[in-house]
Amino acid sequence: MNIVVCVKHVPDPEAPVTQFTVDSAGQKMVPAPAVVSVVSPFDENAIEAGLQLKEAHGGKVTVLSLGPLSSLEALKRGTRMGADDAVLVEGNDLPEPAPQTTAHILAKAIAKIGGYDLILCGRQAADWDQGQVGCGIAENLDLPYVSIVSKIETLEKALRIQCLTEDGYEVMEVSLPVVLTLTNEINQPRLTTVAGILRTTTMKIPVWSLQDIGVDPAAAVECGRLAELKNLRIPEVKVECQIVGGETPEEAALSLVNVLRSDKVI
Amino acid sequence: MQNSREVIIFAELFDGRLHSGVPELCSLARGLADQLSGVASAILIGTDVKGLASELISYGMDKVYAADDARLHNYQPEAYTAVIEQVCRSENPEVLLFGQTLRGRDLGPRLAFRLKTGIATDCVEFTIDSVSKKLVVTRPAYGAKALATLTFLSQPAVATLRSKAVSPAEKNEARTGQTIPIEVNIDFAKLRIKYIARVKQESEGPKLEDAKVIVSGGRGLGQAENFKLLEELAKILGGVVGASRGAVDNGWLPSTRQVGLTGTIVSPRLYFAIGISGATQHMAGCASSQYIVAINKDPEAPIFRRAHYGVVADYKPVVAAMIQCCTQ
Amino acid sequence: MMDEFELTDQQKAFQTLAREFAERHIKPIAAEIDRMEVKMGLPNFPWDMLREAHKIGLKTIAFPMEYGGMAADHLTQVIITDELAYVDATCAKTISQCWKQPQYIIHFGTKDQRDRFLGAMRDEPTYMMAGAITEPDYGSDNMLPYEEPEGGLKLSVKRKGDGYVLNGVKHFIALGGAASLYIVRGRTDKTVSVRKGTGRFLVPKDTPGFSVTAQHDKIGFRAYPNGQLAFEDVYVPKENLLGGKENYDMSGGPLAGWNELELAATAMGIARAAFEAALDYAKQRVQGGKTIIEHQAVAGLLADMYMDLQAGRSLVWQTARIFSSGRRDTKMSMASARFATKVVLKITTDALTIFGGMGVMKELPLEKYVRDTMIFTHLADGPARQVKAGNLLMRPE
Repeated sequence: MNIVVCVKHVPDPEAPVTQFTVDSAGQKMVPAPAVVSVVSPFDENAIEAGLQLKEAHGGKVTVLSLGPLSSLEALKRGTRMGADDAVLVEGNDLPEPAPQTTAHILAKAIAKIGGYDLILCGRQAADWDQGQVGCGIAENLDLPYVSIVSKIETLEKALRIQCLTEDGYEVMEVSLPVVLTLTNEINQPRLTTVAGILRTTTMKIPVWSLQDIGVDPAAAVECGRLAELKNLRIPEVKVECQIVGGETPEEAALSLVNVLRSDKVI
Repeated sequence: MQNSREVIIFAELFDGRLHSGVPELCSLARGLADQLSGVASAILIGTDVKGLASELISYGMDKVYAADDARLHNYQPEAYTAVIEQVCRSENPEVLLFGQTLRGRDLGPRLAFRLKTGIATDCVEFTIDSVSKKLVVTRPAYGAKALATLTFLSQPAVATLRSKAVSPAEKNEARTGQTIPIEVNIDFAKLRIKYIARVKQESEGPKLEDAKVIVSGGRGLGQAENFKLLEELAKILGGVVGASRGAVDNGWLPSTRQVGLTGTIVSPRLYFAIGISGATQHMAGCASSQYIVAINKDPEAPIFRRAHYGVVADYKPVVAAMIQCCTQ
Repeated sequence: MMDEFELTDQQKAFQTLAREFAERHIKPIAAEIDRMEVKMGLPNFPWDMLREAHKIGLKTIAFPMEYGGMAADHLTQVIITDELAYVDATCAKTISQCWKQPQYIIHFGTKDQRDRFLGAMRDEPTYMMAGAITEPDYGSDNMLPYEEPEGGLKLSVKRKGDGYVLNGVKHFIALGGAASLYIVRGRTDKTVSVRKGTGRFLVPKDTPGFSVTAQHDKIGFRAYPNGQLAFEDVYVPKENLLGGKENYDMSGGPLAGWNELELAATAMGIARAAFEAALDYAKQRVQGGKTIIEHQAVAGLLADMYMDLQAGRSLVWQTARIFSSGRRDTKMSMASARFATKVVLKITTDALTIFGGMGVMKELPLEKYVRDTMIFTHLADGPARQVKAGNLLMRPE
């Protein structure tokens, strides 16, 4: 089974809000230099799912990303986990691409990679939290699409998948090729491996330009101009935490109950 | 094409009844339609939906497009997308709304890409720009660290509404409206996704999003068993138990109990975060709580920057003592 | 996280791997296995952790490529040991022992022995090797310059047919009771000194006559097995005489300097953990109206701890770089081991001072760092090593 996993390099979602500012144009979040960038967490679930399917059925896993050269780190995380190939589409001319633009470009890249049976994405990226690109890729490639998948089982020439519902899950079946977005309930991403790290050191990851994949940058931007970001701001979070203590935990508990009672919280 | 000034909502069903978030969508649609001097409508898809149509009208809808077809009883995403697409192409609404539910998160993007139009998910504020008459929304981003305001340039503007961001519409049985049956012209044989079954895994008790008191546990609890202590506390305070993603990932509680950006977003009066570090993703789920009490033995845990009250200690003796104290 | 040393991308990737591995597989069990009773059958040994280390490739990282390893250089090993020991020294040592003991087989073993035993380590997740050297009368003797035939090593070796029969006891054996293979030192030629008249015998754990008679309960490194072994007419076929050679010159050897470097790296991992714990505590504990780090005495103490920590890390990592370049500078590794021991002892004790009463409470990890550190006093420093250190200086360049 040949699998393409789309990954995004994002600022560490756990970095506290104090480490971010908004640029002067009010269009971008600017993380402090100390904030590391990581593979968007749901994308790691997607890489793991791809690797598990490859281990069960053979084939290969290719990780793909659209971004500046620094996104190579995200791809390397994938190959260090065990992905066979990686491709970066460098979109340096594109300011924060809209989801439709990203979907269009990734779809073109996937078409160029070719020979795929399954395309996996995380259910939403940990920066903009939109959850649209997976659907867009499917639409661009005219493939079926199922979102928020929490389990994948393989049948003869199809997949049986579970998608989360509010009170459980639904079971669907779909033939390959298909695009799936995955949620964290599906697996625990593995760590990198020694073998993966060694392979990655000598790997040369191809970097494609938009031209290489037949995308006109202006047209790509235009197809995403469907909504405009007017304003981005970081609301002030002002919470004064009252630490309630005591000589012993039991005492602290009593003090807490008293404080909550006197403040009419309970 | 002329701006139809129509606001259409997808009236999601849950167990054959209107989903609990639909009255909020109705209220929003009504408000936006009024700003547009237009019409608020709902799309209803399923079987035996006539009774629900009148309910929607009593919530303020002027029109209900009802696709009543046995083949649409179960959620088949391509079929539902095709029906909504059909309505949108013939009615050309200005705005198309879904709830930010699992269903809505699935359908919203499908319709946006199908109609080649813009979409914003998890929106908390909506207004119609008085000059351009286009929809303007505000939505959280970066794990709810930031707020983004977007103006739509395309039509229809597709958006999903965050649960409880808008007050629900009041029922007015006296309202009248139109129910328009939709002819379902789908070649079901050509659909590529096959619906097999639905499995329920819910625990009893009030839903997280309706609870006034929530006692949540995280990885710091150590093991599944320890949630029993939290259940006791929740019971005494008249609340329910929630979980962080860490606890759910460890298999201690089902994902239906997860509070967080991709779990349930809650706004109780009182929220206990016990053994929860305060990860951004989790805070996005509970930040709207009126009072947050954190109990964690790590004084550096980020939760203490977001909680109103905090106890730095091992949670076990603290919660046990609280239970004792409150039962007296 | 300390990242002041320039590392290559690959080294950083290994550092991240070790850190994440420790976080996921070691941290959840570290305190528990330390507290468990030490007894025969080793219920406190972290087998699952070892399996995971094997799966990821950590267990055999220092093996030659043809046996499934990556021939990891010493700097990579030190980087990994540092991250693992930061979380738990016993798991760190279990893994680094898997890199070290097989070196005897890699260097001296016949092709058949390498295939059999290195193959087993590569293929069996929980396969480990233990070096059975120390005996009740043979400890520091190992390092002292003593050339008389009458030495402390008593485990006797008699020829029997094509093979050998071993009789005697060993104690304090690292991984004793958990290992699958024992590399046993036995007295072969009593006409020369112990150093020159000793052979190495490969004894698999289920060999008749071999038994583990006790597990040593220690002040620290409690989850790291140290066992007492008994050999009663243990037959070793000639295929299991290491390298087919009856007598080895015990000076030098494949682990020359390596042992000390590993000990030094492990010690510095603990030191870093203790320092950071003390620093965090000092920043939030309030006494006398301010956080204690704002009191000059505490700030000064922490500054000195930081200085020692970085001096130790620098020495150890520099030694690792020298080893990685192909030069086994045993003076540097000896200095690293002894200095690291002094540093970690001081840092953990100073951390106790900073923590005050809380420091000695078992509910905090600090007392475990202190107990684990005690092991280094003889392992990495102490009179025998001091003598050996001096002797290294006597050697011609």
